Amino acid sequence: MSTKKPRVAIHSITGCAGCQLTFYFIKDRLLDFLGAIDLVAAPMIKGKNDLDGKYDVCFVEGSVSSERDLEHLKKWREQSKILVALGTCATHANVQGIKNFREAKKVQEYVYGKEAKNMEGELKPVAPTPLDAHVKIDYKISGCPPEEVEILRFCKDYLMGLDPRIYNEPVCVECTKREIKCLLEDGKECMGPLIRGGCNALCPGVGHGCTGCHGPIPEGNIPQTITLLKANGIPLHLINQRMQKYAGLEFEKLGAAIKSEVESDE
Amino acid sequence: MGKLLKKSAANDFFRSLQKKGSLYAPVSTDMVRFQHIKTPEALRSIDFDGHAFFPPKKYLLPNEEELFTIKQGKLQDTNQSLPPQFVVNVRLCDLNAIAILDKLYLDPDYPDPYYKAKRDATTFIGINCKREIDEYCFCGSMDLQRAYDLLLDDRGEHYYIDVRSDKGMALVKELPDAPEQQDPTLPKTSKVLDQKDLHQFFADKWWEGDNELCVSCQRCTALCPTCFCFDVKDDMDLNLQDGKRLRTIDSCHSADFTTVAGDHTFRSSRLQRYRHRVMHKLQYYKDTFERSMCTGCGRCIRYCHSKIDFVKTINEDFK
Repeated sequence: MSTKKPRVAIHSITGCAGCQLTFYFIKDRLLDFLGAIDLVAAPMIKGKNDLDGKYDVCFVEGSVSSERDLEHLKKWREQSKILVALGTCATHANVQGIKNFREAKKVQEYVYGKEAKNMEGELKPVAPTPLDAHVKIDYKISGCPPEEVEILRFCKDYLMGLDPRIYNEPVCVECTKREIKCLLEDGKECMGPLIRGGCNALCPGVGHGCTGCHGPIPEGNIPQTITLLKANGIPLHLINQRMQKYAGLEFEKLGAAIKSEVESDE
Repeated sequence: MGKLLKKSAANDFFRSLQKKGSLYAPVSTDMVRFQHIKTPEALRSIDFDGHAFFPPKKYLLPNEEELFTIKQGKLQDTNQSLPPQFVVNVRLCDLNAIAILDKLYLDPDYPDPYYKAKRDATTFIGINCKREIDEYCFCGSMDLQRAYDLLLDDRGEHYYIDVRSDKGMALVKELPDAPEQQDPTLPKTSKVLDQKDLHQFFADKWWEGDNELCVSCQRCTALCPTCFCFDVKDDMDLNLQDGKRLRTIDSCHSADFTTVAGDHTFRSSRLQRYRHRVMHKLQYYKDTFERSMCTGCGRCIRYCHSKIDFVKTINEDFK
């Protein structure tokens, strides 16, 4: 590892900016972090930013939801040695990705009303997609927002010169280790078996079923989990909505038939 | 050798342990869990009837343990010595599981110092099952031994305390001797696992049905009283000069578990991983140590999301 500090950028496209905030809220470690890197671009918190130089690591939050987003993303990709998709918008298109399963015009009318004009504007909206639909992504840290510990673990691994390890086990693993009474076993709704953990079972720990904000693990058993949820009285259209909510496109890639179900429900 | 403990005086006995060290016991709330019994008042909450969700292996193999620290780039051993701890009301299946872990971690040639420090500080005190806890127990078919220091056996007004070691005797020497030695009856269960050579049933077809139900949640391995696989990780501070090395429990059901350098994965499919757990538990360990690694506690079936019952599959379908 060279002694030169890595040039890091934190950039944003369409999303709520909560992922960046998680970065800046790493509290007592923030000054250590800023001391270990050279934060050359972070428009949310810095006045002067190097928008055109080279980056060693570039974190991007948000999904590609407009043509302008895509222009930015392609530029950042060219500028960066390592491009990290930060948060579920960047990794899975997140809530705005629900648009992929609805008629665009209907969505617009639902949000802005039938009388709304000039909706195209200069942004030129496109169907929301995760970053890796457009450019090569080196690492993905999902989460809505991503976990502080996962961001820190990534940064520390990178600074040590290691290949950063991304936690890849279902929510059930941490839930069981915490000795939380299983919500599925209790006849309730929980997406835990399908969803990537790393959150230390935050929601099941307070009695709320996992809704899936980290997106699916590649190894999940979708048909059997649906069978278990249905056995608990959860209707299929609700299960499909849960899969659509954060990561519908990824669930489709993994073989879940969620689009047709929703359309037939409407 | 046996001692007698009046049931009404059980808490006095546990209180005497509290004075000697930390006391851990099952407590029943929404589930039965082993918990730290910190105060004399908390003794009242100790459970005598249930089967703990998470096995007591957690006192020897915690989810995460520190192996050593790094200070300014130099290694420093973590002090592994512990004050005495007593884990009480442990079921015979879990006591036998500790004996199996001992065999692995206290191997005379390669003892594990982190495990040994905890094991030396810990005394497990058993309680005999009057009847099978539920329909998932199959310990009656798993060749359980009287492998413990002390075991409480319900004899109506009294507990007969079966004493099997000097370590155990030191804790009960004040109690009156039982008039005669009566070995506690080993539990019987209506569910039994037929002992078969599983090598001949290795082909995929034997496992496909159960595998379709498996959601890879890893609850079976986390909750198994003898599953011991671990991962080792470094957790450095951002200054990269200070940090610690951690050992964390892992699972053969994880896709990452057999992924090695160069990204090769030895067991890439869920079926291979599912089969490996059962084969290791029931066959591979037996091939080396002449007994099954399973003690029939039933947790991997009881708490399986899909209630996959490998006992039933082996008994009925493997022929």
